[in-house]
Amino acid sequence: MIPRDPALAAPTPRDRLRRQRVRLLRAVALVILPLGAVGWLLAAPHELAAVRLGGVGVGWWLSGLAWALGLLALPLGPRPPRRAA
Amino acid sequence: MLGRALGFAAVWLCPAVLLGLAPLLLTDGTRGLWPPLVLAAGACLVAVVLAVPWAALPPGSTLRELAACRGPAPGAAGLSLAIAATASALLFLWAQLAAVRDLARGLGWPAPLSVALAVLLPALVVMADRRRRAVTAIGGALALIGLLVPLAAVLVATDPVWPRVWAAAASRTRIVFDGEGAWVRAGQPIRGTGRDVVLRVREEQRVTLLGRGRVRIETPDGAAWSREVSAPVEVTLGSGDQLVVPDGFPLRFQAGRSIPGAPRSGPDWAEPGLGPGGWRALAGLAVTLLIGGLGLTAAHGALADGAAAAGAARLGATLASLGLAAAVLWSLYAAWLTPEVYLAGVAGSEVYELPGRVAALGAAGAPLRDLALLGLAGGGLAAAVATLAGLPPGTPGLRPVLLIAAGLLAGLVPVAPWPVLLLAFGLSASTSAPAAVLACWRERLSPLGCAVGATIGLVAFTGLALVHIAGLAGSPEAAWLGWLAAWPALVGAPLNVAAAWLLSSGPRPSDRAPLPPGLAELHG
Repeated sequence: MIPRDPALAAPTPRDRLRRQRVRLLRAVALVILPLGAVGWLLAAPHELAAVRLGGVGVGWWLSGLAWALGLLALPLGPRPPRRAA
Repeated sequence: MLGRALGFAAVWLCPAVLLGLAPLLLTDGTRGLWPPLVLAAGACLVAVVLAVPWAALPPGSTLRELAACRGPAPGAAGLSLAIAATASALLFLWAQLAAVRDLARGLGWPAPLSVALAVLLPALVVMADRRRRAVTAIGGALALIGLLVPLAAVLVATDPVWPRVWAAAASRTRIVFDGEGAWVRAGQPIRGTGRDVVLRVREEQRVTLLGRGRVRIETPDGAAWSREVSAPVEVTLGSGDQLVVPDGFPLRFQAGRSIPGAPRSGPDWAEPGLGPGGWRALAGLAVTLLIGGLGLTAAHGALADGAAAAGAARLGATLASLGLAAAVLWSLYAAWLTPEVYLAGVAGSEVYELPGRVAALGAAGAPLRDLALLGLAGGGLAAAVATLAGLPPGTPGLRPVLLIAAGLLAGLVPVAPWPVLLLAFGLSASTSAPAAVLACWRERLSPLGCAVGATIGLVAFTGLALVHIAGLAGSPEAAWLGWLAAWPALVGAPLNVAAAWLLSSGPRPSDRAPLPPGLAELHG
């Protein structure tokens, strides 16, 4: 008899929850951390956010990046479970 | 799924949000980006944190059903969460109807009639419950089309490269009346948000009073001149003078003179300084909008759509982000193309009249402006219906009562939509949001802990908000208490989480033990 590989066994509900939590934390970090960076820049002294880069304030470029990372977090977040039909 | 996604997006593209954001970006060309950015991040957070567990609940489920899924709650838990959901819904509806009122005033429509119509429409939709999903989808689609199509036309007709527009707006040496504009040639009625419009003049200029009514001029040394005007008369206003005219009074200005209420120059718009509140205001706003979105009754109502909710919420958050980015561009192009929007203090509605003022659009300008206004109305209807769907089921009489109460508040209390919207987000952050997140993700969860947390959050929020409104806490810029009272979610949300966490403590769950039945159901 061939022993069953534990790695191929169906994940338990607890394993699924653990993986979902990891995905959740990763996605939330991807939303929050860039936002924190933008907030720091906007509050930075000497009008750092208004320094021009390509004619536009650097705050706008960084905000655009944070916007894009927030959208990137959506597919990286928790996945809906596959339910039996 | 697209219809549900549009309904979800409409919560973040409602008129209170869109009219509230416009003045912020027109005032500050750099930090005005912060509120729409945080709102877009908040929509993404709701989709990431709540949508998947919520999709496991039966269609039509609200926060009460989510909490009940995690265990039988004592009566107090249900009560405090129900009060929080109802109050959040009332504040959110009030903000929408206040936006309708301001929009009607800005367009010269009868405000009471517009608010009454805005109360009636969602009430009819909620009564015809089967059509709810279709109405939120159509309203959300209108909101998005109303934002994107007229904006695309303006971009094509003027300059589609927004960085070039930002650079041009931020480089103007002075912001003055254009010699070819309607304000200089024929004159126009000036519309504000109250009965009187106050114009603060920065440099000497001639103003022609074209209407009939009582006009007052106040000088910086305290002297005042008041007269009943019945025929066109030209007055010369000095630097620092204030002109007070009735709302809708027609005026003509002098070409080449600075626009009252506008920043002095492009650099003044792009770099106005950190402003009152500094980093504290940025932090308070971020906590309020990010956490508040997770507890907003309207967001829960938009999620309450069953199995496809997770995918729909992701798409909805993407559409909401797209719409909020479009709202930023609306304000940017309005600041560049029609600096006269600053005249009577920006209410927000002027920004969405932009296509009608762009000469390059010709005859297409007016219908495109109407499409933008229709989009605002559609977004408001969809957001109101989603809010009512997020209320606890089994209380059909509550919905019309809430709508009427919100209509009365919008009609009788002269408060702008944005502060009321912030109250709705702040209350949700302090009460419902921690319960929603913990119920979705924490294994050790006591219904009593949630009840106590929500009650403490509710009391802390209400107390601090009242202290702030009464002006007892001092200025948010000068005192810590003033700051916390201005942003009560900074206190309410952590207290709520701490109470719920501590009262839900227990031995660490074993890796071998099965998940609690409710949590297993949410993540099955």
